[in-house]
Amino acid sequence: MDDRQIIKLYFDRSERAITATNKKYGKYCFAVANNVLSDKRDCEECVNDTWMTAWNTIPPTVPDVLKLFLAKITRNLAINRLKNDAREKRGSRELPIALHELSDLITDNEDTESTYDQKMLSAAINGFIKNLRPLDCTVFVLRYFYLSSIPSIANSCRISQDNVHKILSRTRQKLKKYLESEGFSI
Amino acid sequence: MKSNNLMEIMGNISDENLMRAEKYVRAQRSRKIFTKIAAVAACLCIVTGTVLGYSIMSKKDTTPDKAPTNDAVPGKPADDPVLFEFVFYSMSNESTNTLKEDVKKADANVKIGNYSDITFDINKNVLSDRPNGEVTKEIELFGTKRKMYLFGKYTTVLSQSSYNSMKKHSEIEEYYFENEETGEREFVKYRLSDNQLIFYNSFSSKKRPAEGNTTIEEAKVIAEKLFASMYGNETASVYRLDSTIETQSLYRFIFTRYLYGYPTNDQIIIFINKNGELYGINAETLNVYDDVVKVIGEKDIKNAINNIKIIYPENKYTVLEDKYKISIDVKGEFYLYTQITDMVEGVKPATFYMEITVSIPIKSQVNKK
Repeated sequence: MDDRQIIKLYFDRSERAITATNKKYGKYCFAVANNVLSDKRDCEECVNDTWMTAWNTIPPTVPDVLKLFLAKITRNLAINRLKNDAREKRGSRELPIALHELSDLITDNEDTESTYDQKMLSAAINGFIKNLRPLDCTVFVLRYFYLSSIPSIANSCRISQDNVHKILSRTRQKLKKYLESEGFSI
Repeated sequence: MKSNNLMEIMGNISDENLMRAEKYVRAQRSRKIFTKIAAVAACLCIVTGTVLGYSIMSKKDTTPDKAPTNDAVPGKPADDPVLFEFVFYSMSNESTNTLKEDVKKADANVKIGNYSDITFDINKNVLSDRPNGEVTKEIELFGTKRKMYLFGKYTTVLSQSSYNSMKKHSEIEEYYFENEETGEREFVKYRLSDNQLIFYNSFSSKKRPAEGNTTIEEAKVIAEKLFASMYGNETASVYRLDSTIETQSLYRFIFTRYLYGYPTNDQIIIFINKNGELYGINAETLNVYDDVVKVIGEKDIKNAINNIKIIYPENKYTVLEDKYKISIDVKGEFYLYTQITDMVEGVKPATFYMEITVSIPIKSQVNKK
């Protein structure tokens, strides 16, 4: 079943929408959740929550790309689950490492939230990623959106793990400089 | 900000950037498969012999000591990068394209996309980086003089426009101020054409109190007065305050330029904190489109609206008229944005909504200054 038919099922309020979504995107969403949570039961619950969120959101939302729409929901739910349940110890190794890497970019730890509007910061980060070389963009997205491990990224991009580390480090520094030049202090 | 918050923001990476990464991984996989096929073909004879021999031996051996594999761990999912890779790009987006194709007619002026796709471009052409030797300038900012450091100078992509108002406002200087005693920091951008402050951001956490005495209505009055005092009543009259948002520690006011009653993407944003003080300004489009908007007439917009109605006939689609917005891009071209749905009132319920933008072919092509 293609995405169009699945979305139509959501609009028709047919419960087959969830079955069809699970069949097509279940493994994918499980993989996204698993990068954050690791625990199988947590991942399954997270994926089920994703279907419920999609059910409550469509309509009126019409996802542009259903797969990425679901990935974003799953990723956010998984991260929130980790935070709310204080299950860091049970979580994947990748989230704390990725968080530590991102702390490179943080200059003012006194602030508990963005010193500028988060929406504008998102737009600036997207603008930055858009101008990256395809390889750098891919490595950055795999690491900080999908929270993929370094070996997994190296495998997907066909480069060495050292190279992945170098690209990530260089991109973070560039991002930091870019955000500062745009007037963001994070 | 904590890295946790930044990680949440990373969750807003656009579909465009995610698709770009996916495309790259897919291309790498194709290359990988091609290499494997070539290698397999080269070794085919040797492998065939080995496989046959192994097959005969396996039949004799019932493999009681077979080592456990990943399959022995049910539910073990995408830890394996290869599996994750498979899942990552096996989901195609062709169905979304089909959805769009169903709606899109053969008209070169129509684009399926978001309003935000056509916006003021912040890309820079850096003229000079932050100088090694400290270059300072005494700047009076909201009644207080301070010595600020030159951070850099750049031109925006507007410099390539054929419109005077866009070109002349394209050179920008950035300054930075840091009070080492208080830790207070400020960042400003000045436009060289008219020495106008077009960007201000205070980085002091003290300026973002979680609680304050100023209500949103009071902050609104402050923002409107500030806007008029900084940029003049005439400019203020062109923009209309049409969006007020309260965040945890700030109020955000968006002033939008309207054209013949339709909102445009020319917006100026003012942030006021909960004590009623200015926290930030983003006025990078201030007066940039002055020349551009002069060339468009109300009739041009009406024509574009009529075109949309011809392309999407009302017996099949409903055009959401309250969603009309006008976008102006960095070249000075106009686009009309709206949403359509296949809902026909009283006949058919909606199965989808689609965002579209339609370029407005206007006389500006010959009237550019």
